[in-house]
Amino acid sequence: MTDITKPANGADEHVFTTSIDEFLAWGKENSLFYLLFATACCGIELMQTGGPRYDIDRLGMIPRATPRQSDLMIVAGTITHKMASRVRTLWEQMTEPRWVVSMGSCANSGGPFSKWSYSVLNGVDKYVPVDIYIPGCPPRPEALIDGVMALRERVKKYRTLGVRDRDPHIVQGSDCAFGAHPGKPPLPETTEPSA
Amino acid sequence: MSPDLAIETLGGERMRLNMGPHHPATHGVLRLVVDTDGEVVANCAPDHGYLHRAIEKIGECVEWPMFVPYTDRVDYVCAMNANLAYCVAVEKLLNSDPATKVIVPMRAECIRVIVAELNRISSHLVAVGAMAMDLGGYTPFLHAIAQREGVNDIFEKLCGQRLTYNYITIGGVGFDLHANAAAETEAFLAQFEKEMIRFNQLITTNTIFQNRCAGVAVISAADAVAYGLVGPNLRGSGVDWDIRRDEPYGIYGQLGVRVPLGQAFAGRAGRVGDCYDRFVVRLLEINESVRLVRAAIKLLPPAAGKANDPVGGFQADVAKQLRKPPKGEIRVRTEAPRGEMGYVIVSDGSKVPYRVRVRTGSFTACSIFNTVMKGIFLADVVTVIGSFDIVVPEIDR
Amino acid sequence: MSALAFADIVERLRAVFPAATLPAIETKTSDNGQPWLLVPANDIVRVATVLRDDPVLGFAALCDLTGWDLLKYAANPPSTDIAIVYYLHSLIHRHHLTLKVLAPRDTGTVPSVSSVWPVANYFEREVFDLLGVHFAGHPNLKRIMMPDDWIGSPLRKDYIYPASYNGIAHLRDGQKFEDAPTRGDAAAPAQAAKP
Repeated sequence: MTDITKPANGADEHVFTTSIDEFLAWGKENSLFYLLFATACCGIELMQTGGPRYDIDRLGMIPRATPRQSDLMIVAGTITHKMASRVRTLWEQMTEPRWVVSMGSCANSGGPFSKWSYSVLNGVDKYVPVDIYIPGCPPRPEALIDGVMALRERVKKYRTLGVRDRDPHIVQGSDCAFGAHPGKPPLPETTEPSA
Repeated sequence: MSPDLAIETLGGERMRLNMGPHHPATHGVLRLVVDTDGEVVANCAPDHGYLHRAIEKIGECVEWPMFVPYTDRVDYVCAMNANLAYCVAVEKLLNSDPATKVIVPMRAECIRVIVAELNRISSHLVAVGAMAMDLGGYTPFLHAIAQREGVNDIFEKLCGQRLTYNYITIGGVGFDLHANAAAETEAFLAQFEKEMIRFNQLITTNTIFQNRCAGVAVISAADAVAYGLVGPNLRGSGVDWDIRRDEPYGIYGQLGVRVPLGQAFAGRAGRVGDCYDRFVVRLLEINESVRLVRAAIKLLPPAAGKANDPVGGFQADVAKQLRKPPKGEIRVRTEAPRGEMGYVIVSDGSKVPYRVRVRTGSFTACSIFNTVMKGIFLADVVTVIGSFDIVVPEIDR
Repeated sequence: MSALAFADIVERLRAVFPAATLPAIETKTSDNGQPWLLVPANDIVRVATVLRDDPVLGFAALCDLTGWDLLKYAANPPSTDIAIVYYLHSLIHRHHLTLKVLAPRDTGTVPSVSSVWPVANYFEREVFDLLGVHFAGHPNLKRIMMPDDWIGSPLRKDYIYPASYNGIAHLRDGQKFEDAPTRGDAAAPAQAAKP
């Protein structure tokens, strides 16, 4: 891959040559807007990571309230069966390319609730495809940043131009195709509680 | 200020909107189904259960000390207080039979107060910071969570965790204080007091913030009691009740907790029991917690050699008692930052509880939502939710 | 402003009712010495109203309304009822009271006290959802925690955990637990929650 920080001919250090794809990937990698999606305790650590001490804003990551403007969904917290279909809806509303980071034990595999709870989904990857799993209960902000750095390596490989013609089943830039999912889970009827 | 409109005057443009379960201002996965014409809310029905993790059922499946990490998850913003609530309840159950009596060492009691009040500071910072952020003031929130890092540092040195501590155990605390814990705590409190002065200059005395909160969602004292409000929500409506002072546990009786009440702090436009009162009561409670931490550090006896020493130890031996606790039931409540955390423990004499029930402040705060939100502006819905300081795991458990 | 002991509270309660309409309340003690008052289900609203309105008793605060399944509690004689427990507190007088109503397991209907203490609205919905007890006269008796199409009352001692929800199996591939709760098909429940 062309190193975009080194000038091509050495003569003028202010000229870089690269490919459009790599340039766009560099842009995506350094401006991953994440969906402000936190259900439980990991959400507080996500908040602290966005705070002044750990500051993921310096990595270009700004929280967005709407999935339409986000590249990344950090699933922070326990996902229950009631919430799971909404997670799927949010993921489907994100515009491509999109990535999902599963933060914390609950989102990875149900966490401390996986054995005795009747209402907790044992892992958010039953409903959405996950790129990076970050273990911890809750993971430290440094662990979250480490996971995000691993995701950035993936994002760097994402190629925008011609991706659908070359590899139609790979739309995430991840190494594995998202094919093992049991299928799209049915969305329940919208429940409308009365007063 | 809320308009004084009858619901019937809302026009034909009424729509039913979903606020949540994913929404930046609902403080978690809470869904509100709001009927509005775009300006005034006609009906606001909450929909819960998006974070129902069956913690009460887990209480019937795991052994007594194994439930303590789950109490962290009941309210993770004030996990120490949540640990404390459960441990105090189990200790009271054990003390109902002289054969299984537990004496928590004095040093452990002092450490419990120190960490619980530090956690109260940390929790109220989230509350006031998030309320400010929801109303558009992003900077005070950043200052608040920066201060939380100071508390997190102390706790991390103490027990290794930043958020869900599993530190306060049945019979004491998990580890003794680290080497210069008292000095570090005092250093934190000193710089924290200066920071709070700046925080108040930023947001508390801000005219725009006061105008947005004054007179909004006024809850009378009688309504507050009838709808089961507790903690700062209850005190914001002028009801003088704090479990630390009125039904003390641990060494709170010796410390003399002073309780702030809502007094229409917002001036002419303010009313007792409006959103601004609840906000200011939390700030005043932060000041009181700083004083309590310092008082508890003063009362701290020196560490003894043995962990179960009744004065200088940090954990009583309870393993034998917990294998065969007394049969029966008990209800014990403690003052968590969000109000009364009442544990009903039913034991059938075995090493696994028969029933663990957690009654939390946020759950009953939601019971008044519909009543209090009828007729307010749509923008004030966010103010009200912020002023109640709800965390969804407390509602859903 | 005087806190009454349990015996005095019961005496005052009995004195307030006219002799002809005295409800059949019984004083009981738990196995570890905690006193409580057993109230027949049909009388709970009358008793609650008196407890709240009488100036000497003044129980304005319903601290908690919860319940538990007595199926596996070793008692003499054993019971299969659901115990509904009310914890009352007077802020003026600073005294407490515990009431219990025993609801039969399969046909249990208890009158709602949400007209006496508005907070009971939420507590009773939770007991209905998780323990399957019907509250007559409740303005909005729907499930509060579980999704609306959930089958069963999870906090009952004979509850069978569902093996899947919405077509997604609960356990992950290869996830095994020792002594895990038995899971069964949600379509054939041990008991169904009443509408």
